[in-house]
Amino acid sequence: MTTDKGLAFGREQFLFTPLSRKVRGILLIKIAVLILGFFSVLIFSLSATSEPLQGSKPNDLQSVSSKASRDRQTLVLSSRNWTITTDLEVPEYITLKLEEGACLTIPAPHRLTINGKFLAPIARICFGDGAIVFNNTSQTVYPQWWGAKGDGYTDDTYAIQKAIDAGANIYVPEGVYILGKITTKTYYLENCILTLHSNLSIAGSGEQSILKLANHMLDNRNDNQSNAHMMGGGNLSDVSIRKIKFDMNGSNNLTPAGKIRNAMALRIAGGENVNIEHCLFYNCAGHNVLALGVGPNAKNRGARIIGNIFKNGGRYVGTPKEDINNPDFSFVYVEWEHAVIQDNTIEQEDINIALHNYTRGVEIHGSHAKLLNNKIIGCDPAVYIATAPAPIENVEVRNNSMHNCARGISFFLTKTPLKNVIISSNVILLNQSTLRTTAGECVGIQVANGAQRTFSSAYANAGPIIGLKITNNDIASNLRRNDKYRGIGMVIHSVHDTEITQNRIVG
Amino acid sequence: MTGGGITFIGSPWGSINVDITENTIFDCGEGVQSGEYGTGIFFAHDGYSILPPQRYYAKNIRITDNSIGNTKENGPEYSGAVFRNLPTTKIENLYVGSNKFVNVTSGLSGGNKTLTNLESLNPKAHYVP
Repeated sequence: MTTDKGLAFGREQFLFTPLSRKVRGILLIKIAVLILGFFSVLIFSLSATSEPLQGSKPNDLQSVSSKASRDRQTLVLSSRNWTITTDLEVPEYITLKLEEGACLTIPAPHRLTINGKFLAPIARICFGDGAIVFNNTSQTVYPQWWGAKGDGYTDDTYAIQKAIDAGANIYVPEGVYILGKITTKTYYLENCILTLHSNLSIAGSGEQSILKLANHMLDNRNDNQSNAHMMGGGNLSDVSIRKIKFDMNGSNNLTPAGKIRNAMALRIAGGENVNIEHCLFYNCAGHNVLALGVGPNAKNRGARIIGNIFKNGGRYVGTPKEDINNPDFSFVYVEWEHAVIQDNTIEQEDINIALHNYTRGVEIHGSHAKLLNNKIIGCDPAVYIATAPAPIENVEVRNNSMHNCARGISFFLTKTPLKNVIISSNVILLNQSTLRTTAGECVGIQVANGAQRTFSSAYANAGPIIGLKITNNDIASNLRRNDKYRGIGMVIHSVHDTEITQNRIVG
Repeated sequence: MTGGGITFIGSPWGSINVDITENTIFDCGEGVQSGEYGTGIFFAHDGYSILPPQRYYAKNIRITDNSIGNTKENGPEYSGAVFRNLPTTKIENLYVGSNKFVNVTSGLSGGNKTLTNLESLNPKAHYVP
């Protein structure tokens, strides 16, 4: 097929202007090959030499790539080191295959761009400080290519970050990957270990693909605003993280006295379309486990947090060693609009320690949020709906179970309005800690119009809560007769256009 | 529930157009101590009477078709008030009706216990036990 720009062949288009007889001849031959062999694959095999891959030598990668540019072909690199000493781009129609023992060395500032398929053993194949970029978004990229061990001892920060920098589709095979090198950013809250980018997928095999925070990450830092978020980024779009276990190693990263400590699993400042699905988050000594905050020049919308397991965080980090300097904690903190938080299990395994301080399950600060079918255990409160930093509306909390929580659903209004909230078909079972230091009654549904628990003119000067439907919820308690604070089914505070119907507050 | 069932507070802008209907509220107040209430629905609309004028002011409140029982106040056994501090002077157009009470000593408790008081203090309010 010819076009006004040249010759199009298959899915690729090459420019040959003017169209020569020679090219036409080649075209005819290719069509014949296609018809007879029906997409036969031509394989070029390249033998190793001691010479580097540069210039125009006939056996270097660049030269062979060029020669192979007229059909889908597999370019096989045999067992040796292939050094790239110039910027090189491998076309989309070439499959680059590294045999066992082959590797690529790319010194800075050079870049190898691979637009097609790339096949290589899951072992170290990439060396040098130059860049390798996989533009094929379906290309799976392995941290092992940069030397990740996953042995529970070696610091794999470098390898995993290189994989993230190189591709869009990262797979973390089974193993325990230690993360221990912080990248310091301009703003201290953005300090993190792994820096994410847009259009990125990171996936693993589930419980056996473990990213583990190294021990004592901030002990030797002198500033009091340090952070060691495991993953971070700003203004990110289309990011997916699936089937990764985040071991936040909280008992070996306790918050030092007097320091602001935010060792979160993931913190994103602005963005859209972030999916976090079927991950596991254990023992986080940070301020939050997941935090999706608003950022400048970002849409700040579209988070899907689905099917994850969160266990322990805040004061209780999975061992009797308490994080006593971490008094204010939330597992999930979302400021974005259109967040769907569904089918997650959020659990504090020792409620006596956990409920010593505030320990929120899901903290919603964005409009059009849906919290559906989550199981939340041992929190105070399980769900926190807050208007800071902006007004919010259309929040749905439905079909969740909240067991052994000091509070089920609570509101926090800070000078901005809240409209249209549906709280329906939730099961709330109250409990509390004998160690509890946070004051106030245990409440199933607490529609407070102000700070934390009651009205506060300093916060709630934006008017009443408008459009509240509390229907078909079950509220009960495991509280004991002599507990310090009583348990109350609901506290309803300054509401307009509200229905409280068919709820059961029993026992 | 060791405390009360529902605590309904009016402040600071008042609660307007609120339906509390068809709820089941039982076994409240097991843990209450002296001076505390295990009331089915506790009203807290008696706040400031100073500016802003709408403070603690409510209207169009319907409390109907609820089933409330085994409430407890100050004593060893259940049997306390279903509604406490029902604020007839703080709510305009209050309708309380068709509620079912089980094992309670009185439908109302507080300053305005009787239907007569309710109607005389606020002609728009109705209490139908």
